Amino acid sequence: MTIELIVQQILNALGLGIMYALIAVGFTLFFGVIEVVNFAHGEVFMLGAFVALLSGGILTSIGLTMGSVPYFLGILVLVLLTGSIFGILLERFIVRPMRGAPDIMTLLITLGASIITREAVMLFVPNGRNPQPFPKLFDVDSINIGGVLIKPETILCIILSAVLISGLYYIIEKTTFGRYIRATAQDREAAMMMGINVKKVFIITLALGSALGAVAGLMNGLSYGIIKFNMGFAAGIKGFAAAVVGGLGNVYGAIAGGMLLGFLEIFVVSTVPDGSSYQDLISFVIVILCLVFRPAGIFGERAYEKV
Amino acid sequence: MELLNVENLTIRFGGVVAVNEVSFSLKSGETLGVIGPNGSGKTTLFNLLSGIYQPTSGEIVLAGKATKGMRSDEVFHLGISRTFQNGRLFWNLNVLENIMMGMEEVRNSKLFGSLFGTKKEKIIQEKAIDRAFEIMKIFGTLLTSQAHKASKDLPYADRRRLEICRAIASKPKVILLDEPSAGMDGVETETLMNDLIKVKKAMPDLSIIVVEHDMAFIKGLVDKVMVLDYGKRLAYGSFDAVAKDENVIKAYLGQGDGAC
Amino acid sequence: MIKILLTELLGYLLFLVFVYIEEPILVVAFIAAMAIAGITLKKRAGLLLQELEKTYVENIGKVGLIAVMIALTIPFAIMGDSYWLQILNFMMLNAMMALGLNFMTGRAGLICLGYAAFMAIGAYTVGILTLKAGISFWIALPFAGVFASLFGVILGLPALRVKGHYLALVTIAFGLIVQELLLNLESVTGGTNGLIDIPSPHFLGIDMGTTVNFGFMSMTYQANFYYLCLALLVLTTVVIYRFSNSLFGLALNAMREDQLAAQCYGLNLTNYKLLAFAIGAFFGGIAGGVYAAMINFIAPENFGYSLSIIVISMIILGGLDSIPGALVGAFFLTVFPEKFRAFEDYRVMFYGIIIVLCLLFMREGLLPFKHRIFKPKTAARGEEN
Repeated sequence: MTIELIVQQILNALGLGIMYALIAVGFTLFFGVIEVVNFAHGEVFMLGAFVALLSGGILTSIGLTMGSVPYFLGILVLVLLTGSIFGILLERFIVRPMRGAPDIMTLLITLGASIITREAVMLFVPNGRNPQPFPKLFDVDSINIGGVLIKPETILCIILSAVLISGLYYIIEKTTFGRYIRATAQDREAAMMMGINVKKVFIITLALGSALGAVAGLMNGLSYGIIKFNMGFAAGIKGFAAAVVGGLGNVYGAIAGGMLLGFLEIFVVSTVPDGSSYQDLISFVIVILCLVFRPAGIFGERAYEKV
Repeated sequence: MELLNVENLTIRFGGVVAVNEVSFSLKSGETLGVIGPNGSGKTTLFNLLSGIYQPTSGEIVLAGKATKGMRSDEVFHLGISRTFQNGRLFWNLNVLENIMMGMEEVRNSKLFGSLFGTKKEKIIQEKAIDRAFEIMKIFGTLLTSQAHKASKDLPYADRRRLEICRAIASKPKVILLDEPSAGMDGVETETLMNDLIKVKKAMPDLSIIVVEHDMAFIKGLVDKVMVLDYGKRLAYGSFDAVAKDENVIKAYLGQGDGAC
Repeated sequence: MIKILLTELLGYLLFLVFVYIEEPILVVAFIAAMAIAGITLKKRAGLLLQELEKTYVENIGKVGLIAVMIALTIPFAIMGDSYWLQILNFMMLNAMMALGLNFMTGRAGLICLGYAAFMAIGAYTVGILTLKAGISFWIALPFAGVFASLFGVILGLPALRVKGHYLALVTIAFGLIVQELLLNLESVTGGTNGLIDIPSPHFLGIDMGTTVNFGFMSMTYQANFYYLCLALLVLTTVVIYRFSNSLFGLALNAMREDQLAAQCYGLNLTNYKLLAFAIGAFFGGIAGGVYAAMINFIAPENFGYSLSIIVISMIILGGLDSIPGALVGAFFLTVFPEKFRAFEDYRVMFYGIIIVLCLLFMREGLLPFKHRIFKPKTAARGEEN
């Protein structure tokens, strides 16, 4: 393999990895703060992509030209908004009523919500059953740097996720609200007694995590140029897997886990003959192995069950 | 001869030594009280004894057999059964079924037998049910009258009683009672004390280890007492000797956690 | 006794009315009327219903017997309508799967979101054995169950170490892996194209894939399979019932309630988990085997994630751990959508909505699990004061 190809693949892996990382962050936030595993989280990824696709028309109709910076920012804002609203709705109508129910019930209800969302997109988006071409946002061809073809979308995605993750870091570590989130994650009862509005923390956590997942969907559309109503399923599984690899509840672990999964997948696809048809299979096997042998994540210590 | 021998038992979680070089022994029919403030390693000690945790070092020997490397179900078959601090009943099962779960018979039931409803299986089942009612009768009609109620619908004190019934259903050699009086007021605690004395009378060979953080509660019940503090054995001996022990008084007064 | 007979006959009559009405408005009106009748009955005559329920529970054997008798007459009552016979066949296969899954998830508390994989394994076992090895269906069918059980044990191995959410994910991944394998092992499974021309079974020298003649009435081949499915469903129900109402079933319940406490009370979790997976998977395999022989054509896409979800929604609607619940759930969720074929596209969404609504408003399901399987010999002993 030539050095150019290797660099190329590293870029691809980076692009895929940050996407998984953004989804994984949501899973890990929900689990850490609210103690739910949201099986509908993959759908927000799909919704993000579809909103980006559909909002193009609205934005051009208010006079923004395609490919311009305000146009892209407009799409980004709409995607973030959709993600947050989805998260808030999920909190209000799915997660909150299930407080105190057995884990298995909460899990199943988020599963139900994911099916409804997915099918709704398939049914109500025109021609939603078929794959939708995702428009190129920039009229720039790939840039050739020393034999390495770089798509501007990849660069944009990497920068965008770097910005988002730094933003998340800032919110969690530096703001008062981030302190509330961390406090709730550590001990909900104590946080409540200290006067933290835990309900609000839940809502905002879900909104925040879902918004990031939606952006990942937008990135997927940008990078691969095609989106489909059922793309949230595999993305959700891989995002969850990445979160588990990094240790559920650990935000930075989730980012690392996403990267790891991205690199592993690209590695398999590019080295194993006919690897791309086994791409998903291999991810799933990794998921199972990781869950079985390192359930606390690669950075986590062995957890002792509280008795 | 000693029934249970524990020697230099130690467990580390990362940097924390939750139980540190604890040793004690117990004769058949004896009762040991383990006291100490919250976080002193009482529950961890129980988890070690019942095989949930594996010790970092040290030994537990029950009736001549070392339990090292055994899972908790294997330890149970050796003759140690326990209750849990926060009450881990099988909440959606009824009182009768909870007690039956403590019995050997349930594990002896064979797949084939249950599929074809063999006579042997029926006899096993009937015997288990009869025995469960016998055990409930230790507490008079308190439990028998609620035998078909789901355990989550029981009043708090009855849950504790049920836990004790479930623990003794297997005719164990040793039972471990993890803070049986937690969350009870004085009157309830006294009733529970009497209940435990009833159990001791009904099963004179049974050894009991009972965890408490209040010494007063176990006064009439125990033959000896062990005090734990930060995982270490602070004092060990008869109730009176331990109550007068200087280290114990200091530890308790120092914490401002009045013992009596 | 007479009460049971009459109520079951009433149910039968309502079902037939439902089958015969075609007009969508009438169907909606019928369902609405049933729902209103049900709710008013519960409000106005709750005591009566409770009494009826008690009679049913106490005479469960007779209830089953009458139900089977009635079921035997259905092909004639619907005049051999091949379309409805086929739906009822699917319904019974679904019911077998629901019972199997319910045993794993409802009784033993081991969540499984990849149950369709077991059906796939059963279907491909029968398909490959009868088509490629020329083995008789009747020998292949038990193998379908056994292979599914084997895969159940394989899936059970990771389940020994993970639970709850993690197990859910492992089982989803398992379902996908099986599907991917079916797609990729082309030489054996036919890949995307699947297996075609799977032979129909022969019973007493009669090809079950041909028309059946009762003398006064002849019916399409679906009637053959109707009776096969019915026999297998009855068998499944009896086996699951026996297992559930034994001490073994009790131990599984305890494991569901609290694995750690169950282990501290002497349960070898390894054995019990693997057994629960093996038994639950077995019936999925059998259902798949019959499916393959009935449809004569199988492909990986028939056994996807959405099938697993459909089976899950059946046991949620019926009530987790409830055997009659699983049967009723399979019945409603297979038969009702057929009346709304115009809305075929909305079907999967409908299952999603059922899951969400049930969990929000009816967590116990339509027919919640009933206790008191163990009674002392003298009934009075429980009540003595």
